Amino acid sequence: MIFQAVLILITALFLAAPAFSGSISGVAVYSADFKALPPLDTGKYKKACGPEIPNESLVVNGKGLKNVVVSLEGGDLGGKPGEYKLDQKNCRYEPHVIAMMKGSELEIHSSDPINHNIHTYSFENDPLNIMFIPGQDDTEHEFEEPEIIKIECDLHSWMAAWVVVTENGYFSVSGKQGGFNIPDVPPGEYTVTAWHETLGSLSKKVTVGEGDVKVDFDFSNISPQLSKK
Amino acid sequence: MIHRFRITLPDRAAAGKRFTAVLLYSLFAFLCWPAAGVVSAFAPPALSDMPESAFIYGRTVNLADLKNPLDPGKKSQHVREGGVLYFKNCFLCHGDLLDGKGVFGESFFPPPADLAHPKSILSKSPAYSFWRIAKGGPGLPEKFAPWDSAMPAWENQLSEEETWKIVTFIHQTAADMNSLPISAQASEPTLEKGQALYQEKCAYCHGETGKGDGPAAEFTSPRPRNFTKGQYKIRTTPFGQIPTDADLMAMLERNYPGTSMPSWKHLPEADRQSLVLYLKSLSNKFQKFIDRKKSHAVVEAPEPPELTLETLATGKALFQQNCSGCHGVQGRSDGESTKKVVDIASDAIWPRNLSQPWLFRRGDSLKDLFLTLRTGLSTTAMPRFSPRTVKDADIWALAYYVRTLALSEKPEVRKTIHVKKIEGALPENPSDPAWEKIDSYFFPLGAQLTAGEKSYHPTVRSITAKALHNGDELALYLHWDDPRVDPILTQDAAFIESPPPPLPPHLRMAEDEQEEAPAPEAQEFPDAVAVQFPVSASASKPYFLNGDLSHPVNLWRWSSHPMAAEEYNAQGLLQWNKQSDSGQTLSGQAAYQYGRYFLVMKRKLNTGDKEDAQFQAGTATPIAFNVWDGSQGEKDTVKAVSSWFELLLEQ
Repeated sequence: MIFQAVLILITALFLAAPAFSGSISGVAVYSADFKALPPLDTGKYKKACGPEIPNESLVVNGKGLKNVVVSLEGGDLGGKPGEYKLDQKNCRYEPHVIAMMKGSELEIHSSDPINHNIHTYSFENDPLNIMFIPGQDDTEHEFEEPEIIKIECDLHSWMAAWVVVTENGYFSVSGKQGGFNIPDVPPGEYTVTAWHETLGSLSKKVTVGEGDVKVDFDFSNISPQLSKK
Repeated sequence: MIHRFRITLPDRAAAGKRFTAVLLYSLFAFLCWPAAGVVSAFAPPALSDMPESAFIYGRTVNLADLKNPLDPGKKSQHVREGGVLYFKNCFLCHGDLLDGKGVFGESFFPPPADLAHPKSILSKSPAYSFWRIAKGGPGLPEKFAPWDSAMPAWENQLSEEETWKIVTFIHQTAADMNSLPISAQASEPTLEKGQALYQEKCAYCHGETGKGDGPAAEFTSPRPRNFTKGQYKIRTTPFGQIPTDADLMAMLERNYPGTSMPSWKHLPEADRQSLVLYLKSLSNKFQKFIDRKKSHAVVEAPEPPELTLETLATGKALFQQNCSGCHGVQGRSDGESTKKVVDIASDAIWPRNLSQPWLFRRGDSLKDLFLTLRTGLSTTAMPRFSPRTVKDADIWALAYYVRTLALSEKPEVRKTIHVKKIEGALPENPSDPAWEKIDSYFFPLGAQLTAGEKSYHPTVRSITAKALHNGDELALYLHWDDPRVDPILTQDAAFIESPPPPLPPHLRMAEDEQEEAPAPEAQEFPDAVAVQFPVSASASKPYFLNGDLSHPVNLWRWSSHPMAAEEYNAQGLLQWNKQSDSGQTLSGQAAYQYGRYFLVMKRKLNTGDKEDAQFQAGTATPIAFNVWDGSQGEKDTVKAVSSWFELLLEQ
């Protein structure tokens, strides 16, 4: 009987565990003097792709910085791989930045009436290089290892997207206003890293105990660099 | 012992067979030595042709009594260090296996020496090798035509000690290659054996840890494979995935034309299997594949269907739509997307020039093409065409069509351009149909590895020439493949690049909807070609690399900007002078079509100018070629060069 009681007690402790977790949230900020980047010209492909494509390599709303991938390191964080979608539409990748835990699947689709050649130069993960011909079936690709991967189209030089493969399931991509939120983080000490394709990475240490943790990332002092593969 | 051939045999009978095989090989090799090429039968100097003494490294050296001065106690160290020097300086011509079959093994006449041959250095002495390396082609006795040899005089570039280390390395390696097995031992493939073999044979290029960063790596293009990523260019598995063991074995057996990777077919099978075991241990991808219980999705090429006219029409349409973006409409790699995908510095190499099938890495059979189309080429921009999108019939149609872009075989190199005599005006435009009826001559080009800034991997690897005369003038027609035209020329209708792949009609922009493209700017360095002749006819020719102080050359040089054909004189690679305006009598007309430059240059046979070569019917005039691809930064001494050939005007 004592054994059973202990077992129930232990089970109860485990069930109660989420009650101690907190979220890590904040805003990615870019307040340097900055003019929105002009859209990209589609040249001879205006009818096939639309007249212009937004330049998404640095998108700022007010001071909020979009498409920053915030991820956690430290402790013994797990998570569940997921399934994600990438579309090639109007000669643009949708979405522009995807974060996923290692082991996740990406389903790649093309909605366009012209060829695209989706190409990654990834090293840790199997690289992709497939010609998409109008109307072809979707392709699934598993990303097995943590890596920051640029996706490009060899036929349309302006097309670019990023897949950030993380070690665990604790990550967030900042939205239009720069906000991000990583919920249900177990208590512990972590390094939070915020990565942006043009501005690079910033890291901070945080401790999650009871309640939510606020952490902001200010990229204002970093001068924009050309995107690197 | 570096580069020792490990021949392991299970029993005495096999050893006996091996012995017979070696004898037969030696006999065969002896009969073929020296190889009588189409262009020149060159017999290298015998030991008796070596002078008693020579002025080497600033002093008179008595060659007859010369011994290797390096400490014999440190021989294995010297062999290793000599190997590194060999792979930094010699292997582009003499080859990974010392057999004279390096990347530029077929570019020069006389060809690079086969050092591994028993009648080569092994039948001579270390002093002979020291003399040959230090003094090179220019130091050959007169009767061996020192002006023809592409062997540099290494005393100008290597220290005496370095030269001796190379001598030590090549003698030891050649001896190992020719030695009979010492003992017969069982030969099970093992990882340890693979590692030892790898360090002996592969590490010079691929690096000790397999990262593709060995001492020779920086001199090669394409670069040696980085094995730690588990990505192999040629496989039967889909793009990006690890190869099968059979793929890796095939890789070790295959020749890689146009690259510095030789075939390792001569190694015993167990050794190749050991190497495969070791290669797989260099990347964690192979273990992960097992851990995750994955299986290979091997692509096999079925039997090709019969060729029909419809097949070719389908293939052409598919090619324009899906391939011309990089390979260009004629397959000569001038597609629009190359501006994005090619970056030689980062080893993003040019799409294959499909008109030169002898450089296809996998091979040029229909099945080879099928496999490349289905699996793509990992680490390059060549994608795979999945069966879900492109059915087998269409892949075959593409393969058949690609073969129509190519010459059926590599043209033979002939020494003498026979120049037909015609009546009346000579055709000055390269598109003049008169040129189509004239016999063409193919000449290989190699790297300039002798002086000044070197060109380890020039873009242009061959040039084709034709010529006509009318008793008064000489017209020389040339074409060479350069995948990028100088943009400044594209305003002229004679210079046509491949357009981007066609769009469906309803998505095309009408002429009046298109914005005017900004005026093109010239490349920083022009694309250029130069044809070289001796200024004066004499028994001893000028040195093939733009002559020397006592033997000047006359050069007809065309450049893309300013676009002009002009006459130069040179007395060596670095001493070029343009002739004065009054001396300029050369005219030139050029064109560019889908990855190929065409040029006709014309001049009077006799100008009376003592700086000019003068031509006489019935007398052969030496001729050589230099080509620069300015878009890749080639200029001055960084260029592709040819050996001397000759021009013979019909009476």
